[in-house]
Amino acid sequence: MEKIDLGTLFPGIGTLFTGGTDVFLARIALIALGLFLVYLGKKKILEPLLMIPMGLGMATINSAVMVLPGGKQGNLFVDPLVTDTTELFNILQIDWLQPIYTFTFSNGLIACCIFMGIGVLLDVGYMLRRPFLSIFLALFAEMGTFLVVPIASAMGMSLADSASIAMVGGADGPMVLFTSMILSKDLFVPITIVAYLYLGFTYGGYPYLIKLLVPKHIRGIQPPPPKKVNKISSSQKLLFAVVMCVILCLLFPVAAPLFFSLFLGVAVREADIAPVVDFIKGPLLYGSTFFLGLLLGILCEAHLILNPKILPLLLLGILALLLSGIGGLLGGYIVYWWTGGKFNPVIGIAGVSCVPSTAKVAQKAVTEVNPKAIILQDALGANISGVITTAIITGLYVTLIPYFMK
Amino acid sequence: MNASYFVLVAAVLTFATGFFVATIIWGIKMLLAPKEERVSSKSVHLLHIFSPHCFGASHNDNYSVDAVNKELFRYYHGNSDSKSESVSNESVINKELYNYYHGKN
Repeated sequence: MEKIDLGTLFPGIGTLFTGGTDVFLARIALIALGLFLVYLGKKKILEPLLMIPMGLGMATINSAVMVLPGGKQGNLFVDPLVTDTTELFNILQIDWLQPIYTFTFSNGLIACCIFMGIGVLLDVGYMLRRPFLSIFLALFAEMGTFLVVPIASAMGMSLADSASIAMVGGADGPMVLFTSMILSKDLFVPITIVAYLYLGFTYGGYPYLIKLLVPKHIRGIQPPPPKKVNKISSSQKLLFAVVMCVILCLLFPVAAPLFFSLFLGVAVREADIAPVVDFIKGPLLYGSTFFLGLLLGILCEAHLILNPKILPLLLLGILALLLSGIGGLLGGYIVYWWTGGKFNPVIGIAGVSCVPSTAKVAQKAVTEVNPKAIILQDALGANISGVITTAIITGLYVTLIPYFMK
Repeated sequence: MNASYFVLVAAVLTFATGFFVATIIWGIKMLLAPKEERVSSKSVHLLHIFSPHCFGASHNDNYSVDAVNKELFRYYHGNSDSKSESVSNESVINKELYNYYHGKN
């Protein structure tokens, strides 16, 4: 009888010691990080719907490494690198998450499903009330999305990779996934993971940024009520969705799947098709977010963090979000000065399109100083405009980059 | 240099597209708004500028009756036929009130 050692009997442990010290350390670190993300999700510090499948997936994929036929180390979950059609067909019958990865993740379907869900949840009426103000604030809150491109480029990254990581400044997960999948096929997994990990920064970090940059007496300003409150009808909102979808698709066909998904969600909501609305905002949105988190966790293999580009990505991602927050507040200050001190500049940070987190953060920061001040309506207007400006930037980056790379 | 130029172009195009979007939204809002909401404060001001009063037209009572409310005008000023009568009655009442408060001269 052939002798069986412990490494062969328990390959998950055995492969820890046969891959080299760096792989050993990376796997242990990722298992620990995965478990920590589950803890953060459970404590509701980060979004549990994303963090629990992502964290458990990350810990599992780095535990369940085995020796595959042919002597190669791998797992039975997914192989993101396979491109050959015959090989892919074989893998589809072996790796259980490969069908979801191939048919929903790598073609952007999952991002579009999430965007459809976001569309159903959006009440564009807030934006329609004061369109110029909302768009103005949202444009300033894209500062990180713009400024990080030359910074990343100066750090030695290609223009496409720089644009992909800069998209984290838009604070819109599906948009980062979509952009990086088109522009940076090699880095789209780490960039998307960085984006989703950092989205928690809007909740945790932005309140400190507001306190740092907006003095207390300005933070508590209650903007004067509008002279006349116009009721925005569902017909206006539906027409807005239809016209915007057609115009933006005419301008940026490359990002048309995203525009279409977002405005389809808005249109379905405003047309009041209740069963479809319930389906999109329930099973579709929650199911897509869950599988997105799961796949992102599963794709976090040890070799990923051994990529030398990861550390710059981590730094640039947080810088992009920070600059976008500062940009949003700067936009708020411009309106504050323009209106002679009647506008609360904190509303500007809601232009960072993490719907509705940044709007809630802005309202919370204002309530702490002045419990009677209500800024949520203006903040939600800027917030929803942020989704649209980020989608515009996605379309522009994906369209322009190939011309600048020539 | 290439990245900076790219960002400059992208930023200009984003701002232009963003304000284009805002203009369309504003247009949609105006197109589908109820008639009374379509008249903004600026357009009311504009109407006022081009109204006959502002060109020094005489402020005649008939214009006021047509423009405001005929019944309301009659309520306050009476019919033109009975105007003199109502005025005289008014002056009598006023005289009595004056006397009541200030005593007879």
